[in-house]
Amino acid sequence: MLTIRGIEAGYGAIKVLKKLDLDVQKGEIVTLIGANGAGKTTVLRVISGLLAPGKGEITFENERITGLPPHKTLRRGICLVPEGREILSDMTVLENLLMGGFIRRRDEVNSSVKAVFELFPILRERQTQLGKTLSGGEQQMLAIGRALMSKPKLLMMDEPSLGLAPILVNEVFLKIKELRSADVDILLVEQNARKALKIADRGYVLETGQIVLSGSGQDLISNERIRAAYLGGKTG
Amino acid sequence: MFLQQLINGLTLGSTYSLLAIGFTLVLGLLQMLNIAHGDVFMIGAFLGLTFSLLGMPLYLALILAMIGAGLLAVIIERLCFRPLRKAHFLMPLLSTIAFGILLQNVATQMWGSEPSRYPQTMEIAQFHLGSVQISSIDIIILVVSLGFMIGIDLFVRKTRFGRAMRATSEKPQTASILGVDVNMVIIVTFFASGALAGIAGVLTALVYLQITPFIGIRQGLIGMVAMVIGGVGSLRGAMIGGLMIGIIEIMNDAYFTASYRDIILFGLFFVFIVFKPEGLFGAKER
Repeated sequence: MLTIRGIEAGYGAIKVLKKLDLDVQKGEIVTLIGANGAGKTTVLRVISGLLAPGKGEITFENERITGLPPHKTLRRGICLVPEGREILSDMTVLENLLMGGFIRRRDEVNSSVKAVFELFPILRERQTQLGKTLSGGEQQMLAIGRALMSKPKLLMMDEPSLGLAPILVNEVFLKIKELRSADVDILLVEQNARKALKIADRGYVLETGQIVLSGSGQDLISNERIRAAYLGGKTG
Repeated sequence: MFLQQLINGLTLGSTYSLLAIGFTLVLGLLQMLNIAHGDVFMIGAFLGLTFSLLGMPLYLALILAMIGAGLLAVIIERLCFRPLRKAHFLMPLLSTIAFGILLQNVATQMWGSEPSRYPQTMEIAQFHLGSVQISSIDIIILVVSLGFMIGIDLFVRKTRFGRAMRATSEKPQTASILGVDVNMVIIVTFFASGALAGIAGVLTALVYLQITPFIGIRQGLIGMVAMVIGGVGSLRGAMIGGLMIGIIEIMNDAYFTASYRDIILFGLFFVFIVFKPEGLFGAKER
């Protein structure tokens, strides 16, 4: 449903993405792995509309969305959980969720808040607390919950495990797997390549702005080159 | 006597609050000052004058002046802020200084630099409550400005669009990925800030009964002082700050010397900057 063809993008004179192709099919969890600075975040920024590409085309559900601003790509059903979670720190947990449902009708929003509380019970307990008082793990739950409030068809997550304690990392990945049953397609950018590939249907490997390898999650995990470069050589 | 002065102070201060709110709204969103804000107030006063001279009743003149001043603020956003989003951070400050001077000169061309008399379009009644005397003008000013203050406070805290304004002011990029059209929020915010300045302009003119193209200069600065005393970035701070300044100004005139008025107010500004820079309601950091 998401198709990216020949995208080139960058910041000023610096080219970050060079002729990038990528697809996400209906019902898939797709992960994009790669080293720091490979351009993973830039891919998500271009899709969501935070950064306009220089060349190339992006289509979503057979409609061209290249260069649409973020508030419009969201209305098409693409939602980004940004790196660093970006919780609204002076708003309560509930207000953060309501902002997540900004584009939806009031009655729909109320039922979605309930659904998010079911998925993340901790958020119900914290609903009147300000965003800045939450722990890192709780903030990540809130960021995902807030994104789900818009009822996205495609959820893009940028490093959801970054900066979390190992036990929380596992919880976050568990929740992402749960989302599959919620009828959301997922494009996951991760440095934690092993965990990402394990839950993904397919994966792409990004190096200096280009896709150098792609395949099913299982294939990539057992690929020698991937093991050496991204999985620390260990068997997992 | 004291109670009388307190009411006079609240009446005057409420118009300062309306201006301080406008500064705060724009500052909260763009982290920039609109120096032409005082001159939007002045244009609002002249629009009110013009509509009143056409024979319109006060409420209509007030509404039209409010809309006119709001649109003027939207023009300021378009000319002084939007083209300069990526420029040096002082550029919008300079462009609004220039635009303010432009407005003063346009007003001088249209209405002359001599004081213009404000027409009386309504009977002024005086009410006596014990020893306190209050005029219908005072009541209108208090009701209208306090009404708008409470209204904007509720709007920002409780409504969907108000939440979008707060989100945009904290993290514009995040607001946009949550579906907020940030440019729309900026336009609406400028309109609201200008509209409040326009109301303040008409209400102030009702008291002083004559206006010049230069009344916005002191008024704008006082609005900024009110914002600093209340706490930069805080809407309620701006409201309380404005009311406080109004009361101090009237008390000074009543019990001390009117010619010391601005020495005291602007002196207070520095007392706050040095000893309590976060103001009465502002957050310490940010």
